[in-house]
Amino acid sequence: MNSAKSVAAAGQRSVEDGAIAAARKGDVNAFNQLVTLYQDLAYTVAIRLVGDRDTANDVCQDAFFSAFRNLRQFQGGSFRSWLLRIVTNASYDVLRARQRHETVSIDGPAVDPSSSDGSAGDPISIADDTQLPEDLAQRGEFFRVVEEGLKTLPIEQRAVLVLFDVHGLSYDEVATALGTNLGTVKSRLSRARGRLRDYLVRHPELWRPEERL
Amino acid sequence: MESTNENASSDRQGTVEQERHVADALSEYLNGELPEPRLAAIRAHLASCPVCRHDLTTLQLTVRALNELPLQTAPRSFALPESAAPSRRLAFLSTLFWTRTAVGVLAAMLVVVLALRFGTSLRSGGAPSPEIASAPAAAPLGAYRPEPPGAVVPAARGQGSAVAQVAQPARQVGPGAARPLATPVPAAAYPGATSAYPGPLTTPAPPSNNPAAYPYPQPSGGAQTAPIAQRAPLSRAPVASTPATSAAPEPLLQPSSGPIWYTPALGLLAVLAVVAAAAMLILDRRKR
Repeated sequence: MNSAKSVAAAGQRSVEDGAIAAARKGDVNAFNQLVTLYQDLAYTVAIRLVGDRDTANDVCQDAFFSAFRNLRQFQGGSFRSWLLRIVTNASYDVLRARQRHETVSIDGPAVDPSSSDGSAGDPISIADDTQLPEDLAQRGEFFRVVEEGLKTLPIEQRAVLVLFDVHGLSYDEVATALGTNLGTVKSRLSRARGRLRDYLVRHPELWRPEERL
Repeated sequence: MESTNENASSDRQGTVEQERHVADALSEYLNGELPEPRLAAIRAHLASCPVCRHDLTTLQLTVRALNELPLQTAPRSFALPESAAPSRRLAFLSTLFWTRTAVGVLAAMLVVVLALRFGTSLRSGGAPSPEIASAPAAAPLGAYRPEPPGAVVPAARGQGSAVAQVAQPARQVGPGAARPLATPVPAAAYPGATSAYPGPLTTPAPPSNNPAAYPYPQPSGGAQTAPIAQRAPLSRAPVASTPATSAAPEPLLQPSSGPIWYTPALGLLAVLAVVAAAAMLILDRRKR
């Protein structure tokens, strides 16, 4: 099973390398193969960073144009993290422009840790194999709350959380994508997880009784 | 020794971990990144601290929820249109790195050559003298007319740059004005010369009393009308008047008079190179 996955990954990597080489010579069709591979990922990251679909659409289109024009600057390594760096930078630009025009903090409302339920009260014993809600409607509502919780985080913490915990990038890839170092990535990740956890514990109704935070 | 210190440090750390909560370390604990001494200390603390156990559990659920967030499907394709491909001409211009580099280097070299050229001129006394600067509108080069035979030829100041030589006509005021010889005349041309190169020639001023015969501005004041040869001492011993000085006047500028002819050409080349480099940069920016 693992070998089949690794073979598939190697095949995708080979296709990716060929497309990158052709796109560097100006082949738009080759680059569009890369777009097809990564557009869902880019869109998901963008929408989780900027928060709305229209802006995420614009960010993605701009990011792919920029990636195509600057493909010569790609020095090898993970194309995915290189592309996500462009996406996150474009998202930062949008958020900064929005902040300038609307004078609304992108940090969002601060969550007071002391107001979270149960964090300092009676601990609830939860089984090791933690489960998320299984009911589809409840699960959808749960994810919606998590997405809302993401929006309450500062953009830098949100980006780390989205790339590392949601999309499974490694520390190195996250550091590359965000243009920062490993120490910063780790500290931001720790703070972001804690902050999101504090947000989620205010919605105990979303969890099973035995899983309530 | 170091290991002993490390053990002592980890023991102290472990003791402290027992006493205070370990919320800050739980994220790394979940990722399995903690080194062994600290890991053991945190495990011990978790075993005895229900608050931190609760924090760990809630953090686990949070991470689990994030892991399971679904990937969203892009609402449309972000494929680029064919027109996004750079045109062949622009691609040729902007993608050839060596072209831009070569133009930049050429521009830099030309600028350096020009700087050296003018720097040399200034060091060698090529800067306009106060006399020249204060002279009324210098006569254009094309309007220069040779003086009548017998004009006094002054010694060059220093090595006398091309600029100074060009400006000389403006200094020649009235009868007896000096005129430089652009080309040193070989000693053989001067009967009675005692050295191979006699230096700039000085010829006696003609006994002309008609200043209007000269097309150059006429300064007022008696001191200004005195021959320059009398006001500015010669840097070399003048050669005695010879019959050669009564020959037809020589042209002011000759190809061998100095590198003046290539200065404007270099300037033009430098400007062109800088403009080309700037155009390539602008094209590259617009392309992005």
